Amino acid sequence: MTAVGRLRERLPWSASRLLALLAVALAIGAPLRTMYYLSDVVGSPALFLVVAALSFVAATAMARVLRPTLAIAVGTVLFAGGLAAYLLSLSTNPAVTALLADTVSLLTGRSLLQIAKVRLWVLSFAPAPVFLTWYFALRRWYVTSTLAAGTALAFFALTTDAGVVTTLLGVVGVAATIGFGTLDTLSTEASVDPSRRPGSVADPDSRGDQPADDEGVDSGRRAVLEQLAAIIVVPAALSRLPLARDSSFSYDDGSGGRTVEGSLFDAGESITILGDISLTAAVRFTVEAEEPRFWRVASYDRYTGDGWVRTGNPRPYDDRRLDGPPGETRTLRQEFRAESAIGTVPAAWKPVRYTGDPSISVTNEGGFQPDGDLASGDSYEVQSEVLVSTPSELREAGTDYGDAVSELYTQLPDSTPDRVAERTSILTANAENPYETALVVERWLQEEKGYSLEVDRPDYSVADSFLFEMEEGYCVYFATTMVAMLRTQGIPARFTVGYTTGQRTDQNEWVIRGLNSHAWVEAYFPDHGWVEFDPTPSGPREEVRQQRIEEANADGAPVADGTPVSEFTPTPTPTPVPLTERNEGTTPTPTPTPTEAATAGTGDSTGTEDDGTGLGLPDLPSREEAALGVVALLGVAAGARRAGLSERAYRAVWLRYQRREDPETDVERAFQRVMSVLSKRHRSRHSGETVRAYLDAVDADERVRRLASLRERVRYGGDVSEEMADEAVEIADSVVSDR
Amino acid sequence: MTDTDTTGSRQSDSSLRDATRVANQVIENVERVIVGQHDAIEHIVIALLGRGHVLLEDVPGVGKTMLARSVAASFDGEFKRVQFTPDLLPTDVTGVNVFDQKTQEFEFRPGPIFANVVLGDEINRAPPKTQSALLEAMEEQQVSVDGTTHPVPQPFTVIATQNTVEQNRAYDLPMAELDRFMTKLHLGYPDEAEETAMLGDVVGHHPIEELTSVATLDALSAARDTVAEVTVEEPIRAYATRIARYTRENAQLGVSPRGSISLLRAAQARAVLDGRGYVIPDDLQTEAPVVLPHRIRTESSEQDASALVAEALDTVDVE
Repeated sequence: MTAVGRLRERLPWSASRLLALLAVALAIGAPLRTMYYLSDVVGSPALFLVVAALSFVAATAMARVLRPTLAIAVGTVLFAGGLAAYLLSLSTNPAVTALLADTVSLLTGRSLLQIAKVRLWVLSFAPAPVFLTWYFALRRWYVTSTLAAGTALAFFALTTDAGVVTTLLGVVGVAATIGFGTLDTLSTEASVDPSRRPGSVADPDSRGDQPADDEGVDSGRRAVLEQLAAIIVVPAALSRLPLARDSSFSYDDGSGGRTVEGSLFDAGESITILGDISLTAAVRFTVEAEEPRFWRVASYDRYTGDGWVRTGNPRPYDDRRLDGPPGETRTLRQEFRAESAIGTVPAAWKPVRYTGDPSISVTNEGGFQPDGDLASGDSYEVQSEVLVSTPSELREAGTDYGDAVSELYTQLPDSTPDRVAERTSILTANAENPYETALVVERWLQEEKGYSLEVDRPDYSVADSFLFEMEEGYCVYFATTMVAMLRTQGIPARFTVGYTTGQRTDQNEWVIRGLNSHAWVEAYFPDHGWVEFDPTPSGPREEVRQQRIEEANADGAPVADGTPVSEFTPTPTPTPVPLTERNEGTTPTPTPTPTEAATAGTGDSTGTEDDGTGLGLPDLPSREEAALGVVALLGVAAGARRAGLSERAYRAVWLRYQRREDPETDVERAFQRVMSVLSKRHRSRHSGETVRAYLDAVDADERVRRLASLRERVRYGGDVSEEMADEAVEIADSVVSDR
Repeated sequence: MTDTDTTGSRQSDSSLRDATRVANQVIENVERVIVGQHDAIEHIVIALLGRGHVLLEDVPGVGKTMLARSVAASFDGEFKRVQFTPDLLPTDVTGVNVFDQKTQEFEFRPGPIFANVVLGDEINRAPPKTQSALLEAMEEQQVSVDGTTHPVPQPFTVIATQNTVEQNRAYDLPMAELDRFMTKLHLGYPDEAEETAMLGDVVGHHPIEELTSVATLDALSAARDTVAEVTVEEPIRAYATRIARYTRENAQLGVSPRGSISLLRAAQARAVLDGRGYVIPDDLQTEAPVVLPHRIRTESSEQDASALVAEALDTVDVE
């Protein structure tokens, strides 16, 4: 307490000012936090931190000397300069149109992560709001200050880059700034004015006013806290209401659980990795093709630590043949018929030609995506060029990826722990080329990790968590981890989603169900193109699927419209690609590492947790949630104190539950409890009124009189025993319960 | 208000019961003679048990003397009466040394003050010197004559009466001396029914002639010792102090520590009367109106000391 007091004395600011500045820091902190996250995802955030710090320093230095109009000019120059720098770096021509299109799509909910040069964007955008916010906060123009911070925050809220919690923190900061700022401005006026009065003599009255003023400011602070708590609590409560829940079209199977398919395709241009998940047996497509493949839907290039984002804008498909992979290929025709309303157009990699009613676009990575949803019965034809490169050709592909591919597909968040790279290096020490590295990683994951749909979602850096802490996961975890591992080795890789082959119902016909949705990995090889790898162990995966189908049959659910559930078993059973040669003797085996033993050792503890009944730690709230919780609690406490709730609650407990101590205290407390009941029922005792006179006046009953005489004996007669205490407490309990 | 089982722990139950019985027997006995003065009788008995003295102040003819005599007659102690007059000498009260021709020595002849209950009638008519002889005996429990001190018999209680009618021919007791009376009582007139009944009783033989003692001197002494042993806990002492301080803050001269002691002693006796071995705030509240007012000199003549005490009892936190 004294340390805080001393600190307060040393700081030249009043408590209100301090609170207001803290609130400003919170308000600008939210957009800064988002920008830090953005620059972290695409690489090193160090430069961003330097820029932000410089802006703070500049604002602090200029707050005293620069006039506000000039400051606004400086802010504008900073913004314009940043914009110009960003524009100049854009390769597309004309840059301005691209920027305008980008801006529009950003403001309508597109994530900044989908922008190609997000790091540069952040660097050029950051200084202006930071400078303006902090400058005006120091000049006590709190509202203007929150305008700058709020605009930045609103922008990130619109781009959906600022998470709900971060946004809320920022909003709380803005509200707190205005609240505490107003208090600060008011108290400054009050305290500064008398001293400024020319020739004013220190009058004793002003001293007398001081406590009252302080009280006012104090209650003002409490009011601000209460409102902040309301800001936090009300939306949190509202979002729990069923009405606010999103009920739009989704890949839900109706069971209320999240499905793999839903998690993969719902979000469109980005994927957030989920925790527990289920499979749906609903039929999505029927495919006619000469050979079974993975029916690819989309791939993602930017890994955010807890999800995937696709950068770049799709362009409309103009009926021309697209480029095939650079390597040797063979043409594969496929006919798809949608069996339910769906928003994807799967195709084998790499699709080059499309014929069909639903209009489609071509995404940056070369896949197709429909412009709208496909209706049940819609059909289309796709011509794909399937890579036929042999393993030995891929081994010799080299590492000449080119800058564009390298930049896009070897990105990792800066916050990815180094141990991911270290573990991968050790594992693949024997691999002599990228293809072998990929094979080793794929195989290692298949063998080391178990398959399970029940997963405790890690908070951040999914790849790292899956690699070192988790024992089981599903395809999304396997694929994410493998991509991250390959990228640590400088091998371009991307996260791909789609459907597995499906259930064969005829020689050339497959039924694709929701439960066939899958995620796998594509790695790039110069002069060949993207090659598929599937690190998910296929055995257990198929088991889970088969089980789900049987469950659906047992439930009588429409598994397939008229499709026989029994498997068509062709001979020989074709193994779907990926292009991995498991039987070739030259495949290097993963290098055994000492750390594997450690992983196995820790496996026991995590293994028991996966039973589902084991003791799992409850999810700890993130730092932001904790901060919000603290503010909410403070506000609730302030409100409760203002409403006298805390005291009332204490009284209520005090009245009902008597903790036993020594007999003397027990008797006295029992007596006070009864007196409290009496004073509620009748009136309180007057100051000069003795207990006996009071009991006569309110016509108290025998029990109460007995208690009063017990208390007299204890208090005035010095006569005390456990029995008396027992009796007294008993009487008090009965009187209290009779109320 | 009598609780039979509320005995204090520091008090042997039997002595407390004896003391209570003695006190109540005396009160009942006196009430056979004096009608309509229950409270006054109680206060006198309390002064008796609390080692105090009583000042009765009233118009003539309301039975002051009768009351004092009745109390004295209720136990087998010695009772003496002194009629104070303007020409009364101190030695008329205390006694004198007389030269004995036979023994050739001075012999002390005790005055009327040497008794267990002394009734000083119309004490305010005597000159201050005579008054102070009485007052010295009251305070010191002894009498000095020609440099020799003679202890008064024990127990020793003075019941003085003061006439409020002939104020111009009286020597008002100084404040310092009033302070030595534990209680000052106003008897007042009995109400109509009581007066009518009293007249019927008295018109033939006065019943006081038939009054017999109901307690021995030893029993009274024992009761006095019991009263002195009654527990006065800290909250009670603190309450007495608060009341005294209140009067000091609101009057020219407030209650002295001696006054507080008197209040607590009276309260002890009240507790015994009630059968209790300890004092409760109610005891103080009952006794304060007769123990405190005569010790207070108010700031103006309009202010009444009794009203001030009532105000104190009303305002000061009991606890």
